[in-house]
Amino acid sequence: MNAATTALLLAFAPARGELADAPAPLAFLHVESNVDGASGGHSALRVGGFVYHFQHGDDGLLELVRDDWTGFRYVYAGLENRTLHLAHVDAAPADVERVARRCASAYVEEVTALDRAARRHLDAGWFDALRDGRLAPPIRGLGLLADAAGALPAAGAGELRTAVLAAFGARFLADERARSEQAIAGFALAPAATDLEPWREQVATDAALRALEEGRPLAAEAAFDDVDPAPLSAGERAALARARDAQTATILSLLRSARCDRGFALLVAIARHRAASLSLERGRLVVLDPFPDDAPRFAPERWLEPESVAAQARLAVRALEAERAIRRAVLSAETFVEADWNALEDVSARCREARRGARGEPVRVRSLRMVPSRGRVVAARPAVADAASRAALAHARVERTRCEDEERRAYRLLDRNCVTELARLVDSAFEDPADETRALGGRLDPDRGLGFIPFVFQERVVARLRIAREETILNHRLTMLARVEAQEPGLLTSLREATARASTIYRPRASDGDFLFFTDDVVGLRPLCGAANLGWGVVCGLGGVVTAPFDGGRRLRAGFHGAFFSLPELVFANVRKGSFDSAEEPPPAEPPPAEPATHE
Amino acid sequence: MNASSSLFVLALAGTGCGSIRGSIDSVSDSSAGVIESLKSPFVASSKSSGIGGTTEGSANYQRDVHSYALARLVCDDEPGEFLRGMSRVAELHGVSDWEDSPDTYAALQGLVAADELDAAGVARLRDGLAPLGPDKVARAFGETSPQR
Repeated sequence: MNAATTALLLAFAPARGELADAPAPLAFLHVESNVDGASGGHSALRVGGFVYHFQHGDDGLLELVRDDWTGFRYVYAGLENRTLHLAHVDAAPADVERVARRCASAYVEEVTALDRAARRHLDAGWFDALRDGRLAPPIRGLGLLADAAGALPAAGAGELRTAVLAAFGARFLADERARSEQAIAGFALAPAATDLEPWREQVATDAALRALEEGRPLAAEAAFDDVDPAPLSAGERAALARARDAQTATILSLLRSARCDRGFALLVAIARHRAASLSLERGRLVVLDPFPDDAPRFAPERWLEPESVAAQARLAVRALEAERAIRRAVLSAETFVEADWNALEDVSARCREARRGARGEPVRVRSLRMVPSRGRVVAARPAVADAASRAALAHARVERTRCEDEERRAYRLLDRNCVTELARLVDSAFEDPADETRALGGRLDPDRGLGFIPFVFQERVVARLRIAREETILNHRLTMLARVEAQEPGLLTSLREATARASTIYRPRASDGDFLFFTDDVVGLRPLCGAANLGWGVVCGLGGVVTAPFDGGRRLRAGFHGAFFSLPELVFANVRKGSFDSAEEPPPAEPPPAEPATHE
Repeated sequence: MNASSSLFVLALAGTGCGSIRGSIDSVSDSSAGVIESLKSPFVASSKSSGIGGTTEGSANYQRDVHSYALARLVCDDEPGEFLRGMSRVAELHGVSDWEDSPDTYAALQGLVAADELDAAGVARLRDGLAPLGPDKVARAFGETSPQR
């Protein structure tokens, strides 16, 4: 692609951060293909600041995923280097809100259903442990605070206890604990029941009361202060004092509540109170580690590519930038906003993990937002006499849930994929086809013909619905290419950037496979470039046969992977785009000033 | 890519809608996406004191609570299940203390005011929230004092 063509494309397809940020209440997205799981392309729906899309998970089930638009764009157009095509629907705000409500409803229903399924699974684990006399799974939230005195000092514990006793009376904690212990001891399951969640919740409440009464400190692994060592400023100290006082108010409020799962919320609030107090004592920021116990942990030997270490280092830099931006806002705010505080915990923990990865150590990862929930195994047991039969019942329930789930969500290439389910979701927001036609200008029929293919589906969206405008967000390489070609116009620049080995924008990655030429921005020469890519991939793969004993087959895989994804290029189709482990773009000429947080 | 090329690619690779959770690189990608999402409101100009620090964050949280409550109140759940679900929905927004969040009550008041619940639904909502105490139930219903 030459500079003029790229400039023209950019004129119609604004770069990220420009028109893409303009209000776009309802838009269908087609995400271009890339290698492996992305080879068929992808479809999604942007509603306001969220993107809803269905993903084919490792378990073979389709999962409704909700991403923030900023993150979605960064991952798909940036890191995965896939151009996004948006068709903005001309719909009334009330109709957009109906679609937003329907999507939100489907999403929270799925999340809460998965949560219930996870609890059934946990119950089965508990009954297995009871039957076999083994240690039971950890209870969520208990691991935030130490089991006994020790570890980190219990900063602020005395003041908190005093506040609780002042609000409720000197006997309050002792009486509450007595009631709690009685409830735990008196717990009994109905015949054929397997729900142990009420018992676990009571144990969590008891642990929180005990922590308040005994002034238990943070558990050693539950918090950290090594991400951003900058000493606290006077303003930050004042904000931390406000955060600590806000936790005191939260704790007092939760102690008045009779909500069954308040124990977990209490433990989080107590741990945050301790962390804020400890921060003030140490003069540097201490935050809770929000990674859940079941967060996948990737050991270096499972990493496929050596460049993953460098990628982790770059991720750590981005995370630290985010941490500083959030810290600046949160620790200058006049009021405590829990979600903001949690954002600080979240990015700090991700930064810490990425730094570990950069050192070649195992890293924990999580694609969802995280609330601190570290668990701990307890010695206490619910009084269950017939654990073996209850275990069998619990497993039967888990299996039934799994089968129902599979029946409802199993991925099928032709009639239950990211396209068909998205269309059905949108359809279900309206009372009937006539209502949908009135609201959106038409109706989507994903089951007809080739409508299950993302690219075809997007064409149908544009043809059938009332489209206000179309927008293309170029992938990261093409966006950067336009800038490079504008700065260094000429054939040599174009040729250099067209090749994976010489490009100044792209760094070859084993996960992309071995290839020579990018073919997403050439059409006429695509088969020729594809033939060269195919030959190069085969040669690299054969070379990898020789080096396999030394590199574990890495070059072998990359070579034949590259050859495989060159095949579509022979018939003018492009799948592979290359990808990035970091997608920084030069800042705009005059970046808008970052405003400090304003609070009412 | 035209339709026949797409079919060719699908036939070759046999997959689409791929999850981004399989390898360290792909999960790191999604982690990077979360980091960008979390940072974004703090460098934008729409900060407020709502959930997630933005008016949009508040609206999104309220929509989730509204949608969840509307859907669950027609189910015959076990006691406590409604509140557990509320906790799970709040965690999606980084919140564990949803009982004290003004956005929670704004969402519930909106649900009641929108006339989307029948008399049985209203009664179930009142029952579901009862463990929070009479003051908070009254707040959810926009009442000035607890109903006796």
